[in-house]
Amino acid sequence: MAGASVIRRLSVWGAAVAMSLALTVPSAAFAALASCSPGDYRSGACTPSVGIGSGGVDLGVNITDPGTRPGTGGSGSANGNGAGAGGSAGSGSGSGTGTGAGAPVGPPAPCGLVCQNPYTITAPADAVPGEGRGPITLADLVNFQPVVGVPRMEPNGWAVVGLHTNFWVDAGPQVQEGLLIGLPASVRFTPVAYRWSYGDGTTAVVSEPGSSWAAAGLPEFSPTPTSHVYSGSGQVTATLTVDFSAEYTFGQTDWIAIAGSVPVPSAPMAATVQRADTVLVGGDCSSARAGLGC
Amino acid sequence: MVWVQRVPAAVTAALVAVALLGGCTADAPEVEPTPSASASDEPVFASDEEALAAATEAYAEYQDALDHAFQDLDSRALDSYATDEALSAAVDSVADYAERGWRQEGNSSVASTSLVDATQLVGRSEPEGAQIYACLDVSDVEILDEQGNSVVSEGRPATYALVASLRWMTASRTLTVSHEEPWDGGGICD
Repeated sequence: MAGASVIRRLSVWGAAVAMSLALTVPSAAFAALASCSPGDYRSGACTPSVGIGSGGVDLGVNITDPGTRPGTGGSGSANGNGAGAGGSAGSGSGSGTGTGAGAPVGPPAPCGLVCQNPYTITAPADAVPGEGRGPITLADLVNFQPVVGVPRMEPNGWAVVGLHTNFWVDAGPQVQEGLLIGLPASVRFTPVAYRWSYGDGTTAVVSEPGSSWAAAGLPEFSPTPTSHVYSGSGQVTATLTVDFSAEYTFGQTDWIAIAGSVPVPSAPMAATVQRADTVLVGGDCSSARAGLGC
Repeated sequence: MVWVQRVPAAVTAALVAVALLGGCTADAPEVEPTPSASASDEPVFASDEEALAAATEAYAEYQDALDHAFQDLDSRALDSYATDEALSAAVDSVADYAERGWRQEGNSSVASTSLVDATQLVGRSEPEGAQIYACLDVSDVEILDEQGNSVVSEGRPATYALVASLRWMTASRTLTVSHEEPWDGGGICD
């Protein structure tokens, strides 16, 4: 039941995804995520930065406090040591206003779905109580969409009644970067099921993408995990839907799985199913190098 | 066996149906909808362009209100333009300026905007919100202390790239800035 509702939900925004994709995410993988107040960016007190910290990428800001504000504690000592590294901007005398006892250097750390302070981001573990919002779901992946290659079949565009027709597709794991709930994140999609509809009313769900006969080292018309035998002639349209599982990370944590899967339909393939006696073969069947279909 | 393939087929069918309906209504005699009737179920924003234009206007008004707040050290007008975290951050920031005896002269300007995500806005009769990137030009902004000396950091950039969330306020039927943070991913102020 839950699975069905997920799929319906996805199909609704599936149409919207293409629209937003064109408009999304300028370039970089990660952006600074500092809490930086309007007053800070007016005075230049915050400079977005991305640096490599111990064991990972630290995202944050350097607060280069210009002048008077005591760094921590507010003990009234007249030398304001701004908390920023390399606070070159005249962090000297700090005359007079050293009374701001204990004013925090950065703005208060907001702690909602994703906790962040000026220096670190903590990815959500799961549901965040009190936030009125559940865990990250597939519906949050509006900026991300896995890609499925063009499905292939052989023989290409036709099939022989009673013989195996081979299908495969190029669709593997993929990592995308973009904004997840407003924060730069990586999302990894991994194919979990390939759902073939062969166009004659039969379907198959397989766990592998399949491969060409040549790549598998098999003779033509061999059975494969993804092959299909048509029982009657006519025009068919085969389609493929690949189900992807999704995981995300905000860069400092391991991959966190998102419940459910994302179905991605591929382009349909039209084919003519013919009886063996009307099939044109790919070459002279009597020659040493027999053509396709011999 | 579950036919997941039917999902795209259903979507396609729905789109075709919508297209057909569109054709039918175009041929049918036009009935002028009354404003009250259209307000209830017609989308507030029909396209990404409309959504971006509205979000840009709301964001520019928010920055304008911030300019005035930092100039007059009065944050009372901000709640017409900001809400949630953005409002509390702005009010705190103005209070911080007042405490230090700082004051702004000159105005900022929104140099450019682009859409991050408007799927919660476009095509909905009850929109929720949107996210935009904005490039804020602060080059004309001067911050002075009580003695009239500039306290602007030497390294302050002329522009800041920000990513802002805007929330649709059902009562006032306006977009209001709910969250804002710097964006260092490039491509916004370049």
